[in-house]
Amino acid sequence: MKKRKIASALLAALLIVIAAAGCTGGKKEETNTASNANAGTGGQKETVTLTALLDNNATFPYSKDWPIWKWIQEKTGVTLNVQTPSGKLSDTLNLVMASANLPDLMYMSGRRDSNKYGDQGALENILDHVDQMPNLKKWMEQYPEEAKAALSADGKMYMFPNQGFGETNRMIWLYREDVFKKNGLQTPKTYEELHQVLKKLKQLYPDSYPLSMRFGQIPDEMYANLTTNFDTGTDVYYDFDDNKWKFGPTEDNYKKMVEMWHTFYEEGLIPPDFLSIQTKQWQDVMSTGQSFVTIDYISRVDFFNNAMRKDNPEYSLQFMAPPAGLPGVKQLNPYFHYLEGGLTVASSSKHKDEIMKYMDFFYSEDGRNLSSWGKEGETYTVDNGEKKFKPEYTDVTEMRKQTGLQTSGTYTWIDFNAHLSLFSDDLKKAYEEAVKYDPPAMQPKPAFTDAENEVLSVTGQAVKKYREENFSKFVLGTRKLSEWDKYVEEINGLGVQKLIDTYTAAQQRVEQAKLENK
Amino acid sequence: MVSAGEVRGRRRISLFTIVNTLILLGVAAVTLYPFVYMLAVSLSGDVYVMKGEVTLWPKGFNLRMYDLVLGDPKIWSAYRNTIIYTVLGTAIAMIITSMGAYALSRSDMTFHKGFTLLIVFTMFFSGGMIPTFLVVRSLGLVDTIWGMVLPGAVSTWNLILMRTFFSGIPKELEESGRMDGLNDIGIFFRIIVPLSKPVFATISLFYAVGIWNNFMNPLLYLRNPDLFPLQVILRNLVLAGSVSSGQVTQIGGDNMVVEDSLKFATIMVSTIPILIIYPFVQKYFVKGSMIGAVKG
Amino acid sequence: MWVKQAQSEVSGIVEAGLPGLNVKRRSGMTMQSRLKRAWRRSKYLWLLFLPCLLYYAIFKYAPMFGLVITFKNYNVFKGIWASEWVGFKYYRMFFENPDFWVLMKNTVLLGVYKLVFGFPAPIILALLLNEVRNAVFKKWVQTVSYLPHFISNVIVASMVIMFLSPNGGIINELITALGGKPVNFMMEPGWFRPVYVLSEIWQHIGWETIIFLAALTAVDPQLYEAASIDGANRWRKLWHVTLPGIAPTIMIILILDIGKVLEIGFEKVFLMYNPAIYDTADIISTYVYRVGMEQGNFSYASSIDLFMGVISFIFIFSANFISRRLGGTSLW
Repeated sequence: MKKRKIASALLAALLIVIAAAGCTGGKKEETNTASNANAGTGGQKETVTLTALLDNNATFPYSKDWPIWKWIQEKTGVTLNVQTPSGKLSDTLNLVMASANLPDLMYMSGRRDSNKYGDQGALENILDHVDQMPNLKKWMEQYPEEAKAALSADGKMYMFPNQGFGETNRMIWLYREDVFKKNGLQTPKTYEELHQVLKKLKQLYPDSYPLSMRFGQIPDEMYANLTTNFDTGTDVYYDFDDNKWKFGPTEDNYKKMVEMWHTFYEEGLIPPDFLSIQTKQWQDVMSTGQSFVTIDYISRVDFFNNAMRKDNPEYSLQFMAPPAGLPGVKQLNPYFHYLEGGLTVASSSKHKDEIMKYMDFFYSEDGRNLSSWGKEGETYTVDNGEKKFKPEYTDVTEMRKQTGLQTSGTYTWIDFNAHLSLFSDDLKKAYEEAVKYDPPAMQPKPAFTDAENEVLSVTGQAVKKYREENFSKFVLGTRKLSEWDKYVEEINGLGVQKLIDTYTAAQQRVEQAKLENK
Repeated sequence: MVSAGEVRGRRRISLFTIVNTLILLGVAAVTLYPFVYMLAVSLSGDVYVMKGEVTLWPKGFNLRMYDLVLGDPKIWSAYRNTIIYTVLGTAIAMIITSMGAYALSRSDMTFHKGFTLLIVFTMFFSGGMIPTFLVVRSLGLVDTIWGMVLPGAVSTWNLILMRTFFSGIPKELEESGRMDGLNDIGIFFRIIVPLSKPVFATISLFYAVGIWNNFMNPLLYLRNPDLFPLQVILRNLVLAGSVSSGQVTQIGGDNMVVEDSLKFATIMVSTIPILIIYPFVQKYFVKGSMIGAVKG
Repeated sequence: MWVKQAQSEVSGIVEAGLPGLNVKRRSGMTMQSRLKRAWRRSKYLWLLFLPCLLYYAIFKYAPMFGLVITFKNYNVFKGIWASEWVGFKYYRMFFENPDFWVLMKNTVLLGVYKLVFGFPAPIILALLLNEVRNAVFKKWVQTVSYLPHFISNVIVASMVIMFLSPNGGIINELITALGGKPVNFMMEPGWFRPVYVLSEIWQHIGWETIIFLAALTAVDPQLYEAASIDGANRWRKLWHVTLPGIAPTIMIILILDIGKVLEIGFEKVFLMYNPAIYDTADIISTYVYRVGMEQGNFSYASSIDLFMGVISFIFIFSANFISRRLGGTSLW
């Protein structure tokens, strides 16, 4: 008898567990549909609830209590029922797509994602609704470049375009002004001059590695900076002078760049482990006077100065004009001041009209003001017609953390003056200067078809690995530069031409589509 | 009873003891250092951290980071969630695993070999992330506690380890149980379980730590921030500003620098509770406890 | 020696299970009555196993329908069934990859190094701890040595890189202090495998020791006493009592580890390597991450995973076979 009891008790326990799981799961879905239904009937202003998948930032994690949601609700009548990814956004997007149960609005961090899912039919083409969106229409006339960049391979727009926010993505050369001044050094205009300056610094501070950057952490950005300085490309790139796609790493200029870096390495001007240097190590050397020149995000001006001046009031890290790699080459920084992320609309959404109306708000002056500055009296004050954040918001991060302003999904069009107003004079100056060294335009980003993406991922990755590997070998001297021609031959053998052709074909298709659409 | 060898060992310290102690001290030093380092950084002033001057002791001692971490209401709800998932998950896992492991340890069970192969097979072949997610979703487990508990209820590794331990239990015990009129279920609960405290303690520890540290399941099965466990917060914080991994344009303006001291303070706050479990488990690591119970 | 000891122990267990089998053979019953008999004999054990079986059926076997994507061009939104068939395209793509052999070699070598050095390490630590008489010291070392297991790979990798840096890293400071020349660990391909394996041991040694410490609790203290009376010294006791006592656990873990030789998580390697050491550090899982996961090409990634799974399964099958042939413990 006893045995039976134990057995049945066990079974019962198991059943309870399973049943309980089933119940909670079921309930959850019910509430979901309930809120959807609510939103559906409430076409009027007050009660629209949209589901949204937004990104999450560890520094200012999503909070439903942020005042921004209240302010948006006041203006648009829309409440967002927000989900955030518990890990990487791209993983969550994959799962959401696979489950075919899409939230109305989804934040995506890049056009590649939105174009991919758009082509698969998951996303709504925003251009089909542009008649409902007077503000967006006007905005697109005002910012044609930004609007064009948001188009997919066949001329559709799956992601809401943005403007203004990309400014923070700028990368610049930085140098220790105080150290240069003390030693009577001039900022270099070319790599030749840079070489001389670094050598002098090395003589003055033998323990230092005067030039240091986060190669181990953000290699792609570093390659982009260096190759731009040498008027070539990291990989396949668009040459605006010749109007065609080229492959940088086999060009003569690229070879010159590698040579220069080899010299830097040999002479101890860059750290011996520069390829594995991480943010922490780089911060150490930049703040302890073991490195004096670097490349990084523009906001590093304030980051270092604010922190280091507490201890060393002399410390001064400032904008430096990018040196030209070769005589006759323009001094340029790469074009990084754009933001690719944005909101997309599920094609399966039942609230497309409400969504379009809602999103249109963000392209109005009123919307721009709200997303940049917040609410008058609560976050900012107006003094002689000039807006100013209230003193409790000491920097941008703090402001975002407290109010939710300019967090994922709350902006498209930003008045960058809002950010500038919180910056130090040094950083403001850096922004003014940086603009002078902008390339003519952003590298075109043609949208690729599935088949093309496969070529890019397989051949593209093989080529990428090979070029990175050989860059390091040439710089470290484990491969002699006399073998350059052999390297060119080998890398071409991996399918460089195939990549160039892929880009060219995609570009042509995009241009064709644009013509047809007009 | 004290054996002759032990008496001799106690009287004089042998060369072996010295060498052994030194080796173990070395191991301890090497494994302790990172924690000491993290603790020191989390307690130091930001300027010293940035300059990389902190190596062993905090410089510019302050508790600001801990204020920040503990002052965040999200940490507390995450704590609660993690503890619920760990306790419930470990309990369920132990029930299912121990029963299964015992059955598998009995080579007289029909299909014993087949079941074992069936299980080992899953160590090497899996449907992958998305299909597993689809199954879990179809069971309605997404965004529920059960989604955190059931999909990881059995670890093949732990199951096999437990089975190996059970196989080592002398068969006479089962025989004696059978003579007392117990069936296999009775034998398991009445005889095997009470005898296997070290095993249960060990495998429970493995499960508890595994669930505590798991970030894959929440990543897959949770969207509702109210249900997030500690690992989600910790991982997002640790990964922030770490690898760009392809999302090139995303870094920069939006990818703020998370100070190491904040990362480390969060690591401290979120790992110390689970670290404390181990000493309790060690209580069961008494030599011969299993056999002793048999004889007693 | 101790393997033999274990042998006899195991064969004892096997014999204990045999009588039932013999009865079955001898009487030559029909299928039905054999099943009936099996039911009568195993029903309670089956019942104990049932939750486990359900778990595997639901959470492990049900998702395996997903493996068909290795023969399809998986389109996440359309779903598995609506995606188009492509046959063995992705397998071919992998085998024809110019890097295939390099990746394979790096993976096998790294895995074998990890096995050869990483597998005995926790056993040695457990045995050393077992010799410690002072209970407090023993517990302290145990607890401390398992700390690194709780640090995520992201932090471990960044610490390793930082400590090994030739520019102010603690290890290189030590080397220079001892009169050596700083080593550029993270930039020289020859150093990657030792660095990786050592960091793995460092990270997991304490954790993996737990299982052996638990196994040691099952060794009968009377055996030690008997050995002492016979005048056995420390080494003889280790050889004749301790090791045979935990041999089944050692063997099972060895077999499982052999099955896992090729399974090296991408994350830590990915965080530790850089182009200068791709020669030795680029392995299959990092390749899968770069080409498959990061690019959203799930079909390609799953195909490679499945292929590696087959190889791993062959490994564990062979290891188990050999172990059983030698008369040792076996998984099935």
